[in-house]
Amino acid sequence: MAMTAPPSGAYKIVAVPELYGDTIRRLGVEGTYVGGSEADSPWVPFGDNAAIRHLAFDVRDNVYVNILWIKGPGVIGTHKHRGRVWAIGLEGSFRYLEYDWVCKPGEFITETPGTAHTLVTDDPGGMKALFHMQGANEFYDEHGNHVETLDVWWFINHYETFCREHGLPINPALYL
Amino acid sequence: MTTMTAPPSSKAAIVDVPFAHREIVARLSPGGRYIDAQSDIDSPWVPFGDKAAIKHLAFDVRQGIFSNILWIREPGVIGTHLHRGTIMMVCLEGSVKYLEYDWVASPGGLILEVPGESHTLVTDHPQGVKLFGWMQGPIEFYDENANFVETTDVWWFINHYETHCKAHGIPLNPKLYL
Repeated sequence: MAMTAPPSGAYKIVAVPELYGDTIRRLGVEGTYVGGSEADSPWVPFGDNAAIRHLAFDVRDNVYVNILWIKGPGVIGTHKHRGRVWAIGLEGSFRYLEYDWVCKPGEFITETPGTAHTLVTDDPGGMKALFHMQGANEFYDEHGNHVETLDVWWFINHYETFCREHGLPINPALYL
Repeated sequence: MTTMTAPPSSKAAIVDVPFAHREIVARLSPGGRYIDAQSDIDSPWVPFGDKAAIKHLAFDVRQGIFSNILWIREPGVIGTHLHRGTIMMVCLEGSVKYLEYDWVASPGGLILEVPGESHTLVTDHPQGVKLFGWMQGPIEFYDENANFVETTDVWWFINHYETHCKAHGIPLNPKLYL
């Protein structure tokens, strides 16, 4: 019979059978918690009107997770994805010029390899959204000239350069 | 725009490719590596029942990935198991089939398996089969009466490798751990 609800509602840690606990304790990588404060991870400027709050870097899978904040009506110019993106709106709203929807808080989007798009917020308060990205993003100027390809290394460099310049400690919880 | 139709350089020399973040890669990347399989120096054959053995090649505990060569030395069966992850295998020697499908894999052929499939691996070849695999996620093994026995994942495969090494005084090879 299929489970229709969590099988335990006990408000306690249940000891789960684990044959390889010693191996997991020795070689496993613990999960981490990144709190909401700027001490956990600061807002790093991304141009004049935007900032990125970095949350996770996975160099083995080229995955990076962050919150993008555009502080007022503005644009993140056309870029092309070579990997997969999942995002959820947190505040304000944003859209892509290529599509007919507007992403608002709690709403969810998927972007796939090969798609290029132009992120716009028309909201007076701008937007915040959580992005979970894999692989490379190619950024182009307004004439369609390729400028730079961004992936996990660019995002690590963006975070670490800002921390160094401002005397902030690097938070190891961001590195899987 | 023109498209590339051949590798743009055939020069047998390292070309210094522009890349802005080499220092970060050097500091934070686990690095690629080569694991030899012709000898037992990099990784021994570890028995998997009487007729089969596994040569472990890679373990990635962050993604639950494991890679190895499965060798069934004579006609035999790896009983029915269910995949929760994605599997890629290449037949290296001999031949292999699944009772569930109508194909027989021969050397060089690629086998793809996806989450949710269960199947029963059989080799009828007199010399059995060698299969290279790159696998992600749990594999659930069942006995012949369809009773669940154990879920194997990267931890089972690490334990299989390390238990054999410890029992035979073989040093663990750090290259196997991504």
